[in-house]
Amino acid sequence: MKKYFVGLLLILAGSCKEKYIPDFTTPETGYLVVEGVVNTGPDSTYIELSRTNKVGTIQKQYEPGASIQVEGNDNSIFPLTEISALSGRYAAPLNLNNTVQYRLRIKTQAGKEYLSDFAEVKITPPIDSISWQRENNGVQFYINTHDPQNKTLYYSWDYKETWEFHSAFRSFLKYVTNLGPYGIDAVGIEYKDPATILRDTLLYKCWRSFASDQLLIGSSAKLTQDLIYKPLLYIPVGDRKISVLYSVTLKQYALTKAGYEFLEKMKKNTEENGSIFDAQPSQLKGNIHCITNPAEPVIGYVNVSSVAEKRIFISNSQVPRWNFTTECEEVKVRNNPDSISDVFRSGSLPTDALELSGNSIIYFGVTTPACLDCTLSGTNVKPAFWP
Amino acid sequence: MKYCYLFLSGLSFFFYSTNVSAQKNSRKLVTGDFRNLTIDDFVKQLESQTDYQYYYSNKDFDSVSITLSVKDQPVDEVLALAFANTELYYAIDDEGHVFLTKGKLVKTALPEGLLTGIRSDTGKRRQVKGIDIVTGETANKPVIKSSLENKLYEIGDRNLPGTQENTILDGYLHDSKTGEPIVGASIYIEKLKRGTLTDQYGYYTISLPRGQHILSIQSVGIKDTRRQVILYSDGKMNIDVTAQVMTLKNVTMSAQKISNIRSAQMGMQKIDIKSIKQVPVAFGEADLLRVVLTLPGVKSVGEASTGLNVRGGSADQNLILFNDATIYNPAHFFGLFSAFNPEVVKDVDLYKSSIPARYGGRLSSVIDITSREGNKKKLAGSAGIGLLTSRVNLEGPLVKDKSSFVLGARTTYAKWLLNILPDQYKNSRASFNDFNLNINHEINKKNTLYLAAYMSNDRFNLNSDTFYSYGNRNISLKLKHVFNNKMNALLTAGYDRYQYDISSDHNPVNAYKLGFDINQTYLKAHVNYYPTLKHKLEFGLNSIFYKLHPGNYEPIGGKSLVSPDTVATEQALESALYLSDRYNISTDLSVEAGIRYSIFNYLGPQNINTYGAGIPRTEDNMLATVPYASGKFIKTYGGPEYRVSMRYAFSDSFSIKAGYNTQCQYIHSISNITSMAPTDIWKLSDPNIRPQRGDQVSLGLYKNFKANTIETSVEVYYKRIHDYLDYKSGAQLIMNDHLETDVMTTRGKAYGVEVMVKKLTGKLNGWVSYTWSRTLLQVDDPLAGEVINNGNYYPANYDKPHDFTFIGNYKVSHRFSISVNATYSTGRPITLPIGTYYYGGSMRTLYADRNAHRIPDYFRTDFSMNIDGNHRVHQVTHNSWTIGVYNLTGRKNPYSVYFVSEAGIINGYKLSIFGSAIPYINFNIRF
Repeated sequence: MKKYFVGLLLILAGSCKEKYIPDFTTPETGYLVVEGVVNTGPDSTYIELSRTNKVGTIQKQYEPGASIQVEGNDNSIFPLTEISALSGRYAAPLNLNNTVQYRLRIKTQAGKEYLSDFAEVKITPPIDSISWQRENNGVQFYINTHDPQNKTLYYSWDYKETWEFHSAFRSFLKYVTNLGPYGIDAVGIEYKDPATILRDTLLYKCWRSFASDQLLIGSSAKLTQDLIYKPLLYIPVGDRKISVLYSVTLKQYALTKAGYEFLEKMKKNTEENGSIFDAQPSQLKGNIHCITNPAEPVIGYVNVSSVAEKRIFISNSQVPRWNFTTECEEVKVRNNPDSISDVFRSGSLPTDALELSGNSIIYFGVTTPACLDCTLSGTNVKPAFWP
Repeated sequence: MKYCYLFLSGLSFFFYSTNVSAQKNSRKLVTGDFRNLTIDDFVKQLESQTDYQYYYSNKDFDSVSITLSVKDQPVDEVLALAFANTELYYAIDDEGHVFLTKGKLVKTALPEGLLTGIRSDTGKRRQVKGIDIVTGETANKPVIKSSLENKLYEIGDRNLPGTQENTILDGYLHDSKTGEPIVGASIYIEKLKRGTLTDQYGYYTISLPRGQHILSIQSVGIKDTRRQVILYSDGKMNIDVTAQVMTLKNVTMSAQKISNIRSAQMGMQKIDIKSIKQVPVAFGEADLLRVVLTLPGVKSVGEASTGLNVRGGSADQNLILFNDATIYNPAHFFGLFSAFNPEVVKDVDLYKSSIPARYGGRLSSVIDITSREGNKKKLAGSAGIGLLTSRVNLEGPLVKDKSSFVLGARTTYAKWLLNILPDQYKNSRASFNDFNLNINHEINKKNTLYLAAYMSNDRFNLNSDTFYSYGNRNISLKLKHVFNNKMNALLTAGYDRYQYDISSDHNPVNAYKLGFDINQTYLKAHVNYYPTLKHKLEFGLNSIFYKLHPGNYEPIGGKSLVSPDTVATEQALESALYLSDRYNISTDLSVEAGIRYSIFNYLGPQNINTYGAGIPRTEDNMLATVPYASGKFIKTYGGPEYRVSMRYAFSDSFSIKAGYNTQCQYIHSISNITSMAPTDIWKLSDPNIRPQRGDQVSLGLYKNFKANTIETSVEVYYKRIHDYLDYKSGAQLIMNDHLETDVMTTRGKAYGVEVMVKKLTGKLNGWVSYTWSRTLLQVDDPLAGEVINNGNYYPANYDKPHDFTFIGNYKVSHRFSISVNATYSTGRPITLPIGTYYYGGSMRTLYADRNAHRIPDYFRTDFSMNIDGNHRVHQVTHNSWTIGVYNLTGRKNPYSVYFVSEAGIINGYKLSIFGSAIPYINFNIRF
């Protein structure tokens, strides 16, 4: 018995993963969410209070008007104050004693009282560096840190990126408008600053920032040294972030093992599910308890540590062949009222003169606002740390 | 075919006369003076003087008148004289039968297959239709093969004194073409309502009263056949059967089905590879476990998992045996396909209710997969290119008719498949292969040796730089010894290994490799004993020595700072003694009772953590770690397990069965993943982790209609599970040397009703089944320190209350048939968020109660058409086409529904493994 088996297959496969919101109702949980690190250093400790919400509610529901204090097991008390009225964010510089254990006590406006477990002070080692390298058509950043005393072991980080970017076209001209029978109309163009023809940096040079939205944790517990080498973030080639100058600042926090496991569980529950072999979501328990009603869940884990920070800059010249391009186009328009009225009503903005006859403009360029006005996607206020 | 009538006037004598004279041979001579005797009177005279029996037709001899005078003449001389110059003939055979005929001589030594006979219209003593007498054999004579249904086989020594009421018939069933044994065929005696099944070597043994019987022989994949025997004493009969070949005329199936009414087994299903290959599956790759999944009471969490959940049991509660070897991971390719080569597999038995006492160590089911034996007649091979795999099989005799081998190998090139799977698989890589080798050798009539080896390898990465690889390694050697036809024994020794490793070298500092393996060495001794007609005894001894390496974590590459870590090796001995008896109290009532006593010894060297009495087992509450020396019995568990079942037949078409069994399981798989993952942790019971225990009571009603062509059944079960291990929230399962702090024991209850209507014959065949069942778990561990769902019952991951399956095949013509599957089930439970919150710069989901919601219901229809070429048996190639569509309606059946925080917001997704209709075409050539 010999056998040959020949198979053919036609595949008309469709998308197998699709957005889907099941039809289900969730209760008004309204559990207290406590976020923030008790910073033992001279910088302010920020604690933010909010409430859990029904699935589908987008608005973050802050918990204003609470009174928060950090308490040491040496009976020291450090009150925090709400940054601004009803903001839900509470802050104070604390300068704590590394040999004392601290906890957080919260009294809400409604009179409920919450207390965290005492936590030892973890001393955060400095960040060695944020390194980066070109790989896989992009730039990969890495966290490098170590603790020579091998005592930290558990880390978390957050970062904030800031980048300078420029509009595709400069804006030298502006419309001359008047109120016609059908509303405001453009009747001509003129230089914004005819005297000097200075470049208008107000719409040209902007900055944008982005704070990390994924939990970033790491552990060296399974290594022979307390050393971290961990991918931080990745920027694909051509991204606007490094079109001019890019900076990222990284904050590092030392965690207790339990604090690390809390964040690890939160990360698994909310960022790492969905794959075939990923763990199922599980209940999240922190170290904060409601004293008034012990059965009430509280989200959050109070860590007490110092904070280390590091910032680096990368300019476009450091990443050759970055190939940053925009989709922007400049359209040549004749300088006459009809044409100007047309482009004005199409929503385009004038850029610069393209053909001159003496001092008078024969042709000028127009483009879409997004290609001209960087403030539409950033701020033109230069950050204080920017070089 | 011409029908002949044979007048067997003496047959009744065979039945009722057991005291044939021993001096027969001395009484051969005839003396007398016969004048004008009718044939009747003449024969009376002869009978009075000799021990011969005479057969003749009155009609043929009604005008005969005999006149003769003889003195001390032998019978043949007397007859020769009497019939001289007439048309009358006589014939005498070895057994002392004398055939008197007119016009034609009877051949007393009948060539096999030749139908001869003496026409007779009036039987003087007894008339039997359509029977040839063939010289039978006794237990001592060489076994001859028989192949025809309408022969009467005489078995045993007719001349033995009739002290023995019951006789034992045994022998082998073989495929007449390939010589392969026919496994699991039923041999049934309708009149006695008694039957037996051939074992995995094709061997059967049955106890029957002396006398004539009709054995009905049936099995999937062979032609139904019958054998007629006359049993005088214990004897052997080997039966060759023909494989089912498609015939050009309608196949008329025998109405004497060995129905579900009769079998004592309850909740047992057998599927052979031919049926498996008929069921449409994704990509047309015949998949054993996918077909098992269509049986009532068997579920899985979804298409990405071959983990079977049988009657509410978890995936690790199935004992998956492949030629006696335990297969720990029966899946290839992320769990999408099962790891058994369809070209090597012969059939599969699923026991989900009354589990025989010879099996143990798992709570919910036994899946016993048998592979084929090689062709004993000639070397043959097959090579194939499938959609997923290419494979080579070689089989043939090592010593002709004595030993044979089968060698099978598969490998995949299924890279293309990854592209049609969901995003979750994109950028993934996967490959697998498996190898089978089976050798069997008949040392002599009483001893047969079997060698089986199996190896599987899988390697994949799932959208990341982490590589997973896993594999099974199994080898076993088995001796079958037949003491006599009342007793035979099996002695098996083997070694099983399951191993996996996980490695990642993307980050040079953290580059690691994690290894895990289970090794078991086992010895099984099993004896079948048939002391009397009414009893069938089985007893034996099993012993398994486990050695687990629960984790070895090591650096790879020079830059890695990973500190090597090893979780201490675990070893244990699991032994069991068992005895079971099937007692046929009457033809209507039979009882099978078994007891299995299992003992588990957890052995040193080991370090055992101790915890404060009555307080939660957490790392904080750990008191001490106690070291135990090598070979020390650290902890012993054990106890009796009971297996009882009974059957009562109210009529030929209606019976009731009931069963109760208890099980104990000493090895646990612990997982916090919904599907059965290759990297699940296995853990032996130890002083801190008790064995799982379970019991099940079940009741079934079986009713057949239309001459047993339609079988219906209703089975009800209730099952309890104790000390099933569940994980705590956020459990750390890998590289954990205090696993007891991350798990908790739960109790479970599962109950359900399974209704099935089955039609196995006719143009339209197939079955419809409906199951309603629930599986609920509850944390009852006082030492857990936490509870799930406030200590209330919650549904298990595979709790799918409604489950409907239709499998149908319609033969439009002999060369064209259509198969349709339809399956519907309730969506499985999932954990959905109860709320949202902001943390770490993103909106996130909040979870509370486990499995409080369900994914949308599952519905799928598959369709396939089989078009065969012509059916001439003697041609060089046979070809056929299979055209099919998997998931015909294109329904995006969800595997999971989940929420993930992306770019600061929560997105909900529904993930389907097969998100569209998947057509396929297969072209097969055999030659």
